[in-house]
Amino acid sequence: MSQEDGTSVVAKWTHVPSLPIVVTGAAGFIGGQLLQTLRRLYAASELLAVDHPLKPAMGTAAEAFGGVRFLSHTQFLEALTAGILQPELIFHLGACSSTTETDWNYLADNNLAYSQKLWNWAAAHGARLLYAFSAATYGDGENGFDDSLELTRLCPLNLYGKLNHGFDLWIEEQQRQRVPQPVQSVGFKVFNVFGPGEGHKGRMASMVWHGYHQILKEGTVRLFESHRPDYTHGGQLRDFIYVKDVVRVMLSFAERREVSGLFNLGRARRVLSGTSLRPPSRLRVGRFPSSTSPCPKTSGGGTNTLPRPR
Amino acid sequence: MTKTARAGVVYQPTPLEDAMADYVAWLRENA
Repeated sequence: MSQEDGTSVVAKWTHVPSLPIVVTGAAGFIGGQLLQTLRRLYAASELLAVDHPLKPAMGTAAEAFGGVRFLSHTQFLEALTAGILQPELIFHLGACSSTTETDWNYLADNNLAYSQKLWNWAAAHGARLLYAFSAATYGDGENGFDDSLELTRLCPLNLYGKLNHGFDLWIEEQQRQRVPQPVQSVGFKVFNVFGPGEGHKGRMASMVWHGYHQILKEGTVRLFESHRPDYTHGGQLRDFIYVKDVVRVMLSFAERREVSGLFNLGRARRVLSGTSLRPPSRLRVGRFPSSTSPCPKTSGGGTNTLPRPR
Repeated sequence: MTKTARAGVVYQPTPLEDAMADYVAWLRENA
C-alpha cells in the first residue's frame, strides 16, 4: 500500500497508551485496516482483536489477525467486567453496518447495548473509547450534515442509523446527568468509505468495489436509478473517503486525549456517485459504458440517495 | 473551519484520483 495509512501518526504519539490497544470489529473493514496499521508498530502481544466468533472461511484467529490475540466480543466484555483486562484505549468499530438490516432486537443488542456497556466500562475505569458509526444518523440530510447540529434535529432513515443515533443521544444524556465519563469519548460519523478489505461486505461494499468488479466481469458498470426528479440516474451525490484516511484520522484523535465529541469523517465534498467510478486517467482503463439498477431499499423504506448540498 | 480542525486534528484527505489508483492497484494484486 503506497498511500499514507496512519503509521506515521502512531509513530509520533507522545502518549503511548497502556497496552493492549483494543480494536473491536477487527475482522471488519475499518477495524481490519486499523489493526493492520497498528500492527506495523506494535508487537502482536501488545494488541487485542475483538469481533464476533470467526467464520470457518476466515481461518484461525492467528491467521486472520497475524498473531494478534483474539477474543470474541462476549469474551472481551467478560474479561473487562472480571478485571482481567484493563486497556486504556479501545477503538470500537464492531457493529452491524448494514443499512438494510431489519432485526431491531439484534441491532439494539449488538450495536447499542454492547456499545453502552463498553462506554460504561471506560467511564468507570479511566479508559478511552473511540468509536465509529455512520453518517446514516443524518438521515436524508434534510437538516444538513453538520457535526455541530443538535442531535435531536437528526432523523435517521434506517434502523442502523436510528440505533447509532440512539447511542449518540444516550451519551449526550450521560453528559447532561454529569455521570462519570470516559477519559476520552469520540464518535465518528463516517461517510462512504472505500478501500482495501471491504470485499466481505458484499452488497454493502462501496460502489467503487462493485464498479471495479462489474467492469471486469461485464465490461459495464451499473449505476443506481434515481428516485428523485432532481437527480439523473447515477447522479446521486456521495461523500467518499478512503479507508486509509479514516484510519489516519482516528489515530490522530487518539493523540488528542483531551478531545471528546462527535465528528464527521468524510472528505466534506460530495461528488457524483458515477464520477467515483471513473477510473483515474493514468490507469489507462479507457471509457466504459454504464447501465442502471434499482437503488437498494434501506430498512426504513427509503433509499440511500442524498440531497444536493445546500 | 471544521469541527475536526477546531479539535486540533487537521487532515488532508487523499485526492480521490490518488485513492482510486491506490485501491485499484491493491484490487489487482489481491482481489
